[in-house]
Amino acid sequence: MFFRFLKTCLLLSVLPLLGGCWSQINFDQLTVVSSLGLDLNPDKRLEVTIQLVNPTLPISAGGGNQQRRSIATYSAVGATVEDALETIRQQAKKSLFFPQTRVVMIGERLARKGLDGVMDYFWRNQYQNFNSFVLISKEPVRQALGKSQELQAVPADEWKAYLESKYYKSLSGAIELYQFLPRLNQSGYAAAVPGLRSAESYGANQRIMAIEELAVFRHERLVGWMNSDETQMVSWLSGMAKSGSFKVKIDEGTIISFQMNPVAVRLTPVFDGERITLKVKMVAEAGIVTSTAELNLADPDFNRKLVRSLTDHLQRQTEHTVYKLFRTYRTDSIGFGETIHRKAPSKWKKLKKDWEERLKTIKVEPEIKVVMTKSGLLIEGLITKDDEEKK
Amino acid sequence: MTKHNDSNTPRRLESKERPSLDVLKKNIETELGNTSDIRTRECTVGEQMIPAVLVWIDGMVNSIDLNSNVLSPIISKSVELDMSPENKQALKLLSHSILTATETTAVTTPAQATSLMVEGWTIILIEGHNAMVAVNTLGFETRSIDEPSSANVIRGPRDGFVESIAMNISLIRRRVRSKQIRVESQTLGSISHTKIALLYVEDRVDRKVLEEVRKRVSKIDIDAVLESHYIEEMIKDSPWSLFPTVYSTERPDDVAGLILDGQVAILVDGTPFVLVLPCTLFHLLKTTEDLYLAYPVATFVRWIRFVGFLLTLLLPATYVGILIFHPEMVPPQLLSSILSARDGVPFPILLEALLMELTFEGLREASVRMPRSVGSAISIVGALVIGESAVQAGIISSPSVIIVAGTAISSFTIPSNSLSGSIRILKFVMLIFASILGLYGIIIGLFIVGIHLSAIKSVGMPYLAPFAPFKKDEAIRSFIRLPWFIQRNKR
Repeated sequence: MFFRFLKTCLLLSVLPLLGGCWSQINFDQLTVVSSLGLDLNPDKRLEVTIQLVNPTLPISAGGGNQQRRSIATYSAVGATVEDALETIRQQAKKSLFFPQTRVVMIGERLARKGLDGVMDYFWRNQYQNFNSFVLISKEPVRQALGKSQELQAVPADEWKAYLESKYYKSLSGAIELYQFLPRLNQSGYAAAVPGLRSAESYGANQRIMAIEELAVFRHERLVGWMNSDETQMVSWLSGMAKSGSFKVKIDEGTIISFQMNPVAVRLTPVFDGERITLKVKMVAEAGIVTSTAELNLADPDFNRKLVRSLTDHLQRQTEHTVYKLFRTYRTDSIGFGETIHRKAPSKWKKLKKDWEERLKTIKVEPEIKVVMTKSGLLIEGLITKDDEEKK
Repeated sequence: MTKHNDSNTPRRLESKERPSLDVLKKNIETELGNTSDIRTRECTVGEQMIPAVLVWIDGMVNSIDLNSNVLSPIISKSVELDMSPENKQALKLLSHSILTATETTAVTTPAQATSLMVEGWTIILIEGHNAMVAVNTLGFETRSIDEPSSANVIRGPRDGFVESIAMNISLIRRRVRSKQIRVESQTLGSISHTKIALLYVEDRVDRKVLEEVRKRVSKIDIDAVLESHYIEEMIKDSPWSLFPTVYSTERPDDVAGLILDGQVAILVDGTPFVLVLPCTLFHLLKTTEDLYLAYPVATFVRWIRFVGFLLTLLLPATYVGILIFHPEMVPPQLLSSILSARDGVPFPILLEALLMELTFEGLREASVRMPRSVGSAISIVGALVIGESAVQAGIISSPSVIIVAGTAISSFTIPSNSLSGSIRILKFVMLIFASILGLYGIIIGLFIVGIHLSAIKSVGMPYLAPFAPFKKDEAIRSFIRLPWFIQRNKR
């Protein structure tokens, strides 16, 4: 009896071993991939570049003196993404860990050719970070990832921190993978991705990367770029950002920078037979950050003039941005199609078939209301010379 | 002028059937096996100056008591008493009007006499009398009442139970001065004859619980009870369970509060630990001090204790489970720092965690057994060797040291020593589960613990009461220490 009990215990204790440790990860072999880059090499073949993090102790824990490279970049060419990654694994000899990828970088060359067939990898792979940010690199990804230098040891960390920041969101137009992937196949809301290029004049060895401009996609193909003012407007119109800054030229020699917070935007479609009008209602609170000339804000007339010129400027900018998207690039990066989809689902069913063609005919009617709330510490231009009282 | 075991006493037999003093004394000595700690004192009683002997066991009697209540009345006041063997009333008169001790009785056989002697009574043998007078002179050295070392408080009474049951009962009685308090004494242990007492408040006690406790105590068949844990293990529900279903405490105010709540206390002679039944998991996570602190503070501290309970159980398991199976859950910077800290550490994560946890348990055990003067050496060894050197030597990674330290701190927040012990064992079980199945395994482990906890009872009360079965008011009171001014009902 006792031996039978012992035998049972022994057999039962073997049971967990039989199961093995299914999804166990060899933690010590694990290497975090900080960014994954996709590009075309000069021979027009798919080139995958990954940036691996060499773990270092944080500086606060005495890691500042460590003499080791904090990143390593590997590149390989392959027919598919996985094919190239397989080659990289042979080079790196580590288990690549993708769930904490900060940035997915796509080369402009590949993006212009079209991403069809490449993005399937991200849809299918379960070990993905759908919260990684997408960037379009204006120069070859291999160089961008390999040579970039930022204050933080791992450049992708720096980029992620910038793209995550709410403060810069309107300027960067940051988009995460989970937003980017579906928009590639959506006509009612096309993808728009911040661009990355190396900033000049920092010497040849040191490449400081600038995140600027916005790459606009039509389906899976990059069609053009928006400059930073337009980027900001796209962010506001699509509802991704609720603040930002704006500079307005009032008279000759007077340029005022405004801080706009919050900016509330509402898109309303108006149907008139076949014609569609996009009504943009924008309500913003603005504060003056700086001015190049003396302002007399105590004067109501001047105040009104200031508000009017800001309003006009915003109105022009709105029209310009929307027409540039709708007419020049024929893409809907502000999600107007989705707005119609939500507000008039039955109409959208008919519209979506030739939405790209229809975009050209859409008229924009901005309706902008600006409230001046802050003027900084100066109300009148009270900077007096030599402490003299103003008469 | 006490003489010890004087065998030279002259024989003075008045008549054949009257036993001589020598024989009487001999009988008692043989009954006790001629043990050498019997003390005697000879004297004479009555008008007739009949020789008598006082017999007691050394150390069990209070000598002042013996002197003033037994010896001196006999010597000084019995001279007018007729103590001749023919006088049937002699012994009765002696115990009723001469002896001033609180308790006297007449015994006839040496067996009776000796069984009283081992309990600290003094036997008066008088020549010519078959019957003997037994006087209660119990009084031995006890530890003075001082602060219980197992449960210190910042605010609250500082007296703790001692090893004497009479003293312990008095400590409770002086807190609850009610005629409703009932003490049911009995003797347990066929050799030790240990006194135990059930103590409860008559009009508050749960009758069913009381009946059940009485029944279980009466069924105990044991030769000796040296500590209340003997009884605890024999009366507890689900004896194979790791969890304590009997509450034990060293604090009289704790017991007073609990019996006022309708619970039954079991006091055992010879130990300062008093058992209280029934006991649920949430009883074990409360302390009496909760009631002495301001209610927001007490509530906060109680929550910290709940968190500590869970952390003790789950922290090492979560660390291992997440790192082995789900490293993507770790924030990038933390992952980077853990990876670099683990760089070059020879052991896998599970082994590392197990090693450190076992080392800590060892340290803890060592420091309990150590005399206080050596105790500080242990902490130096623990802090320096384990904390500093092992990390610097690259044997152990610093995150796992932090995890073990965190677990240790959490385990110290659990007020009950026995609960903390069982949680510390379960911690290892959880660790194994986590290493095999990750977070999934932890959930399985928690399910098993949860099923077990909801299945066991303590004398009829579900262990997870008042949460399973759910009773709203009591559940709120377990989670939040309600201020006295809004507690309307008495319990």
